[in-house]
Parts: sequence; C-alpha cells; structure tokens
Amino acid sequence: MASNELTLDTAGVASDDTPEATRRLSAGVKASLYLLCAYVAIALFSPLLVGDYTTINTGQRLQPPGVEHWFGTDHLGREIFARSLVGTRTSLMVGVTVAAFATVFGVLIGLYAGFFRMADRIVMGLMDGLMAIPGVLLAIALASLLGGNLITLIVAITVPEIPRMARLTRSVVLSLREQSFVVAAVSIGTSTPKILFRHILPNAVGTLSVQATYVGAAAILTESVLSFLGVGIPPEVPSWGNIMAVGRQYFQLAPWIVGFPGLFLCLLVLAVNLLGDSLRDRLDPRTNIRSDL
Amino acid sequence: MLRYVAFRLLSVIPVMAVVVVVVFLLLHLAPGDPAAMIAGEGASPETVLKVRARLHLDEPLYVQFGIWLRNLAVLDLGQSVFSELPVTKLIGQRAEQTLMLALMATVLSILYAVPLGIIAASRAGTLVDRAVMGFSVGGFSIPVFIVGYALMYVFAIQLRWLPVQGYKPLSEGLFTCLRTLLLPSTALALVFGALLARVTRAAMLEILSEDYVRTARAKGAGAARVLLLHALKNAGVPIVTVVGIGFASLIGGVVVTESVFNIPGIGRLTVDAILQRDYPVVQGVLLVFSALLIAVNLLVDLSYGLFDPRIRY
Amino acid sequence: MAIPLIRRGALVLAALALVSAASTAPAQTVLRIKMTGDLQQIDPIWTTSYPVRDMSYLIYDTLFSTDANYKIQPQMVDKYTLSADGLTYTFTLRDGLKWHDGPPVTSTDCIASLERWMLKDTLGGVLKTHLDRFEKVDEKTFKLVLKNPWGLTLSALGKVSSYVPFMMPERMARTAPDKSNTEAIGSGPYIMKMSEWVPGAKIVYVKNPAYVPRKEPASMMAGGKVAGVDRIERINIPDDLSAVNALIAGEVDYIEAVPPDMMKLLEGNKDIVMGPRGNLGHSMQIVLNHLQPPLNDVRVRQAIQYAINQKEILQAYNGARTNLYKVCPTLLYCGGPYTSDVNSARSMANDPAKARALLKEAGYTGTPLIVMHPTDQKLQNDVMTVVVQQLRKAGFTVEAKMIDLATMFSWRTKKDPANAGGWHVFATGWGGVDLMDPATNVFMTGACDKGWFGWACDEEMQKLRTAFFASRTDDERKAIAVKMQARAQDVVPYVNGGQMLQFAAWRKNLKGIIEAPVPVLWNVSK
Repeated sequence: MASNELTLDTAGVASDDTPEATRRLSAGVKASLYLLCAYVAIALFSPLLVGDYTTINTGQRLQPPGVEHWFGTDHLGREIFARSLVGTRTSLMVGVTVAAFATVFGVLIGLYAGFFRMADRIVMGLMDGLMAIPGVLLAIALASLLGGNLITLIVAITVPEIPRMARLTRSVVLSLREQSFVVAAVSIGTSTPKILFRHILPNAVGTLSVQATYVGAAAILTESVLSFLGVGIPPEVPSWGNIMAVGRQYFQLAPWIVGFPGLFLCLLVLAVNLLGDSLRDRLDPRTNIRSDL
Repeated sequence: MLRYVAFRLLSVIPVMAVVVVVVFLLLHLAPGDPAAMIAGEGASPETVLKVRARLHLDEPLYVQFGIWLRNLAVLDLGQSVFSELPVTKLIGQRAEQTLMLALMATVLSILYAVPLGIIAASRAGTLVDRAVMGFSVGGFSIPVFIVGYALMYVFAIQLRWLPVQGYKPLSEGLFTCLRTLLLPSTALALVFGALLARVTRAAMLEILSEDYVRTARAKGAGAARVLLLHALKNAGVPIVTVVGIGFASLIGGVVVTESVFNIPGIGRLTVDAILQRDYPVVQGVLLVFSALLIAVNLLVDLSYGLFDPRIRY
Repeated sequence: MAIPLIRRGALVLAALALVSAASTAPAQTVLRIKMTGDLQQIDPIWTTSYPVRDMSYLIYDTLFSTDANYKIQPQMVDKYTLSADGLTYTFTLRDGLKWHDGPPVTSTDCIASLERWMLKDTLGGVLKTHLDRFEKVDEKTFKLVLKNPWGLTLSALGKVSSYVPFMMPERMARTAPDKSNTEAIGSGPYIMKMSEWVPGAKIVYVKNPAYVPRKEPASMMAGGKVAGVDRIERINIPDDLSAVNALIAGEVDYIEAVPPDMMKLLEGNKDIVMGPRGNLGHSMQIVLNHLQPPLNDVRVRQAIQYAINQKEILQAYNGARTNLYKVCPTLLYCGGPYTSDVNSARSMANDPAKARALLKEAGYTGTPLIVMHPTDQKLQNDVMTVVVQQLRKAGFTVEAKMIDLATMFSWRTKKDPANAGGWHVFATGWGGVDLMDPATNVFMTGACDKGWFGWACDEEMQKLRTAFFASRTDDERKAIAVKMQARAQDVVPYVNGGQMLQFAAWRKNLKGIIEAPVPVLWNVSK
C-alpha cells in the first residue's frame, strides 16, 4: 500500500492521511460505535423489556436455548437472556464510572505532580508504591474487604487504575510545561489552577481520553474476573461476571450459561478497545502504551 | 552504570515502604476477622474472644503495625493464622508453580507474538497485517478464564491430550511438569501476547522507516537479516518495556488461571487467604509480589543497555 | 551468534529431559482423594469441622467405635468391665498400640485425651457432670468412675461425629483449650506427613507400618482398620467440575460428594462407580436468632415455618434427582432412630398465605430481616437464594447480606441488635449423624445463652434433655425424643431446609469402600 507518511505510535494501528485509509478505518470504527450504541440502549431499556430475571423457578432448571427461553436457563431456573441483558447495565456502569473516577483522580494528581516538583516526588512515590502491588490482587483485596456491593466494587477497581492515569497525566504535563504558551502564561502571573485547567489540560485531553477508554475496557474485564473469583457483584444483581462465575461449574453441561454473557462481554470490550484505537489515531499522536490485559 | 544500579536500588526503598503501609492498612481496616473461622463451628463466643486476644487482634493498630514491622526486619513474615506454618514456607511451597507458569507464559507470548508483530510490520497495510491486528485486539478483549475454559474443553476434556487440572512439580520430570502447565500458560500467552504483538509491530514499523534500515537494504542485505539483526534489536526497548509493565497484569492473569486449572500457586494462596482473612499470609504475599514486580521493572530498565547502546548510564 | 545459542539451548533442554525422565518414582500404591472443603488446622478437638474430623480418623484411633448396626464396639480397648453398681468402668488397652513417634499408648494419654475432649464436646460435657474421677491402674489399664450410673457412657466414647474422642499423646492433650495442636501424632493406621502438607492444596498420609489392627473384619467405624494403600493424597480441587473431569481422567481416584447436576457426566462411564456416601447424608438448617426482634416473637418464627418450602430448596440444588433428597418433617433427621413427624403441620405446609396471616397477627410491621447469604460456596449460595425469595413471598422484608463464609462464621457469633450489626437468619448444614440424636444435636438444647448460635431459649426443652440423659431404657429415650421434637416444632430453633444424600464416585479399581456416615478410608485398596 502506497503511503508516504506513516504516522505511528509504538502501540498500535498505523494510520496515514490517504483518503482510502481514512475510509478504511471508519468501517471498523463505525461498527464499534453502532455496537456501543446498541449496548447503551440495552442497558437503559432492558429492565423494562425483559420482565422477570430474578425469580427462581426450580422446575425449569438448566433448560437449553430454545423457543421458550432464548438463551436457556441457569441452575435455578432463571432466564439467561433476561439476565444477560440486565447484566449490560452493571458492566457499562462499572466501565463508565471506573473510567470517569480514575480519570478525575488520576488527572488531578498528575496535574499537580507534573507541575510542582515538590509534590512530584512525594505523590509519584505514592503512586509507584500503589502500582507495585499487582492490580488484580489489590482489587480482590479491596473488593473482598469492603464488602459486596456495586459501589465498593467500583472503588476496588478504580484505585489500582488511578496511578497509571496519574503517571500519564504527569508525563503529558511535563512535556507541555516547557512549551512557550505555558511559559508565557507563567511569566504574566497567571494563577496555577488557571494554567493547569485552561492551558495544559485541554491539550492533554486527547491522550487522556484515549487512556480513559482503555481503562473502561479493562474495568469491565476486571469486574468479570473479580466476580469469577467470587468477590465481585453479589448475585442478586446480575452481571456477566457473576453469571459466568456460577456457570463455570456448568460449562460442560450447560455451556449457554457461560457462552452468552461471555459473548456479550467480549463484544463490548472489543468495541471499546477499537473505539480507543480510533480515538488515538485521531486525537493523540504520541506514544501511548496500553498496559492492561 | 554501577552508580545507576545503586541509585535505582535505593529508590526502590520508599516504594516498598508505601507498599508495606498500604498492605497493612488494607487488611486491618476491613470487617470480618479470622478469629471465628479459626475457632470453628462448635466454638463458644468466649473461645472466639480468646483467639482474638492471642492474635493481638484487639490491640490498637499502631501496636499491631509495630509488631509486624519488627518481624519484617528479620524477614519473618509471620505465620498463617490457621495452619500456623510460616508464611515464608507457604510461599516457598508454591513459588515453583507460579514462577514456572509466569515464565512459560512469557516465553510462549514472546515466541508467538514477536514473530507475528514482525510479519505484520513487514506487510503493513495488507490483509495479513489487518488479520494480525484484529486477532490482537480480540486477544486482549477476552477474559483469561474464558480462554482457559475453551482450551480445557478442547484439549483436556474432549481430546484427552493434556491433564484437566493440577500441577506436577519439576522433580517428577520436565515433560510431566510442562504438560500440566501447557494449557494455562497458553491461555495466558494468548491474551498477554496480543498486546505484545501490537507493540512489536508498531516498534518495528517505526524502525523500518529509519534511515539505517534503508541503507542496509540498499547495501543488499536480505530482508530476514535486516529484520532480525538490525530492527529487532532496536525494537527490544519498547518490547521489553511492555513485558515489564505487563508483568503486573500477568500476575493477575496467573491468579485466574491457577483458579481455573487448580494449580496450587501463590495466586490461589493469595485469593484464599484474602477470603479467609488470613492477614499474615495476605500481607506476606502482597509484599512478595510487589517486590517481584519492582525487581522485574528494575531488570527491564537495566536491560535497555543491552538492546540499545545509545542508552548507557 | 544467534544460531549457536539456539543449538546450545536445545542441547541443554534435551539433557534436562533425559535426566528428568530417568528419575523414577518409587513403586507405591497411591490413593488420591478429593473431599469436600479443606483443612486449615488439624486438631479435631479444637474444631468440629468435618474435613478435619474425616482426616483425623486416618491418624487417630478411638477407645470405642460404632459398628454397622450402630452398636458400640471396643477399638483401642481390649477388654472392659462394668462394676455391679454400674459406677465403675475398667478399660484395658490392646497390645501393640504405639504413637507415630514411637512410644506406646498409655492410660495417662487416654485419660488426658478424654479430659480435653470433655471440655469441648456437648455429650462429653454431660459425661463430665456424671463423672467422679479417672483412676490409672497401670500403663494399660484405667478406670472411669461415675457418680451415678449413666447408660450413655460407652456411646459417648464411641461417638462417630464431631467432636470425636480421639486419643492423643498426653502432651498434645494438655494443650490449652483455646489453642489448636499443630502436630498430628496419633496411633492410627496412617501417619500425616507434615513435610508434604501444602495447606489449601494437598495433604499426604502414609501407611503406618507399626499399626496393629483388630482381628475382626471392618464394620463401619469398628473392627480391624487395615491400611489398604501405601499413601493417601488428599487433593484440594475447589472447582467441582474439574474434580469430576479429573476423576474421569484418572487424576484422582475418589470424590466424596458429586454435585447432583454433574452425576450425568459419570453415569455412562464404565470406569467409574457411584454410591451413596453413608445412608444418612445431611440436611440444611435455617437458623433463627431468638434474641432479636421480630424473631423473638414465636409467631414470627412459626410464620417462617409456613414460608419455607423444602422441596423448592432441594430442587434448586438437586434438580430432578429425587432419589437424592427428601422432604423431612422432623427436626431430628429422617432415618434416625428417634425420628417423629409429630407437630410438623406448619413445617410441611408451604403456605405463604398462612405465613402472612400469622405475621399480621403478630403485628409484624416490616422490620427487615438481616439474612446472611454466603456466595462463595455453591450449596449455601443456592439455598439462601431460594430462602430469601421464599421469605419475601411470605411477606417478610428481607435484607440479604452478600458475604463470604469467613464473614458468616464470625458474624453469627454476634449478639448485637440486628440494626446495630447483628443478624436474624443464616443457614448451615449438619450431618444426619449429629442431628439424629438429641444427645449430639446442638439445636435441641434450649440452652439460651449457653447454646449454639441462635440461642433458642426454652426451659421445657432443657428439662426434656436432662430427662433424656437420665433415662435408662431405649423406649424411655424414644418417648422423650418425641416430646422434644413436638416442643421444638413450637419453639423453632431452626427450620428444616431439607435433607440430602450425597453420592460419592470412585474409579472401579478401588476395593473396600465402606458405607458410613463419615468417609472411611482404611480398608480401601487399589
């Protein structure tokens, strides 16, 4: 493929400025955007549409997918179709809130750390310390110890993500700090918050929003892992993770219990990741190493 | 170079200090305590109280912290609250399997991801490239346990080629051991390698457009020689960086695969200890993992010198 | 540069492979078992936990044992006599009994072991109240002197389930009651290999070459305990499906309890045998906190009796396998010697409407019931999910607390008010072997504060229990047991969640599996 100007970053898809390439990218991105819209719609409207997803019906245990139960039933007779759709809310909520909070806190910390040398040492030392504890283990510990509900779970998944966001923001701030417009603002005595929020932050938005989408995708995956290990969302509220956690004992006998939520999960995360990729291609020319599984 | 190493080692200390404090606070601020679990079903409430006293669970936090620090200083990580075996022994019993699993997963990922990345880079823009990239994004969008179960179903349950669960130690034979690790490490490698493939590809692309590569080609060097000798070495830095950063996620993945394939490793130990509130074990393991992570990142930093002679301290 | 490295690497790998292939394991018979739960500690007098009890049967021995006809037989005791006045038992130990670390078993050890056991066990505690003293006669003989004749003395000493009066060396028996023994020196047919214990993963037992089994054939817990294999490995596999697949692949030889849904994976398999684990099984108890309103009102508790539908609970776990479960009206376990369905109308009613009516009568205003719902164990999780739904259907406001087992164990000890950190309801599962006898059933004591969690308080139940222990004949005991059950159905210490039988599965080359209420692993060979 003829291309003269390959703009790259070390973690991703090559993009170039030829019109065909732009169109080509759009196809994948369009698909993920449609998919995401579908998910959001499901999340918003599913409880109204699906009817009963909690009532136990021991007479209908482990029914395979069919006309009566589209995705089959679980071992307590509950509909997988209904539960999977409702699970969308949980996962999207976790993904969005974790991304939001991790970004807010991480950015705040990173902004101040990047700008003030004093704060930098201390704060980054703390962040490094937090990052040294493997994220999943920290999340498990927090989730298990804070108890089982949506809020504590969000806290448990957010905390390990903050240091990475902070680090990224800090490095952006460090590089932007030497730019002429910042130096100029400092010299005319602009207040620090104004510099940070009116001058630096807008220029960092591209990089940060890309990272935020990846954080969101990772959070959704982490929630499913935590539920799988038994410390995630309590089973009263269906989430794909906890449907699969119980379904793991049945994956040979009733594979639909793991199959459908798993499919929903993979597609959503895939869509978010693809979205992140395309955002990066458009907004952020810099190095952006994603560090999550 | 030596100065740099020394400096880096020193800078690790405050980080570890933060870890120590965080880990301690984490567990002691939580509801539920192990006393009743230890006391067992038939225990009277008085017995439970006595157990709490014996474990110092009723003393003020700073006293408990002091006791813990004092023990840390002599590398005494304490004993499990239940079995009363030393935490170091518990970790030691399981270290081999976790390290083997992590190592094998890393090796497998590098083995398949790096060539894939190179191929994709050398054929940038073609169908092959897009296929690799598609596979890669798909790879890290799937939770590890789903991949694990899929592999288990096909290779262990249906085909019976590999064991369903469990771990055989090295002492029983290298192949016997590797057989038990093949499925879990493949599951991990598929996910971890997806990221690695992306990074390799991007790094290679950047390098392939560099002048020295074009010079080499102009001089008549074969494509393979150029790729391997020149480009790969320079791509080493970002690749190794990803391995280092990804190590934390690898540990997370190891915890999950140990659970799926019933490998009694440190990951499982941690999860079980957290669920049972076995404080000394949790603290000990989190410390060990953090130390390991810091060590890996240190090694990564130092290895830059190997790959890129321009980076010398 | 690169190529020689690869070649070198390959050579190293090949050498390693050759060396490792050459190391052969010694030829031993190994039995790999997968049991329910896991052991965190190893002292069976410290905890009633069933996993500990089951494994302790391998390494410890008892003075008396229960045989397949539920008669008490001597085990470590060679001969015994009871004085004419019924007050003095004289026990003489068998020859050849030795501790795993060498020294012979002496009466001092036995007396000390009994004393420690009596401090913890309820039946042992009752024995203690009748006990005057122990008297050592010589190294192998000792006397147990009662204050008044008590017909259950030998039954207590031959008790099948927790706490089992295992015999330990004196130094272990002198361990403080709130401390757990960390060594496992017994005199049984197997020895625990401490060096190979990986808590949470694997425990290893090796055959005790010095053990002298009794001459009689094995009969449930009694008779000769012959070690059938050289080595037993207790492997912890938390994932039941993995365990079943491991059994099919031959990676384990025996699974103690196969979840009902997974039985179909084993049914067609020619290499696997399935059999009921004992004829007793276990049941689920929905335990109510008698101290906290609204449950301190007996009518509210009785409303719960109307609300709970055993069949639904049992079906949730067992599915369509009706041969595995039983709806049981009694609180003393169906199939036991004292069972009676007296006064069970409410428990069997499954009538949410009647529950609501009773609640109205009691003036229930919607105080939320704090229900503990552990989610990390499948049985607990499934049972509580159904129970919560049933309670809600009956008009209760329920606050289900999703916790893990560890939290439940500590939370249920709290007597705080429910709105200040207390609780109302939790579920547990006791074995039929413990439930079927008022002597060992912790729920039939009516002992208020001194009782088991739930703290049911009833003077009449206390009186009946004392009378039960004082009675001399079986008929007398049966009559009292009927009265106890009738009373308990009114007091409601717990609501029966349903009774289940467990099926074990093993590879067909295993011989000598004994059917008993607890797993018996001596006599098993490959």
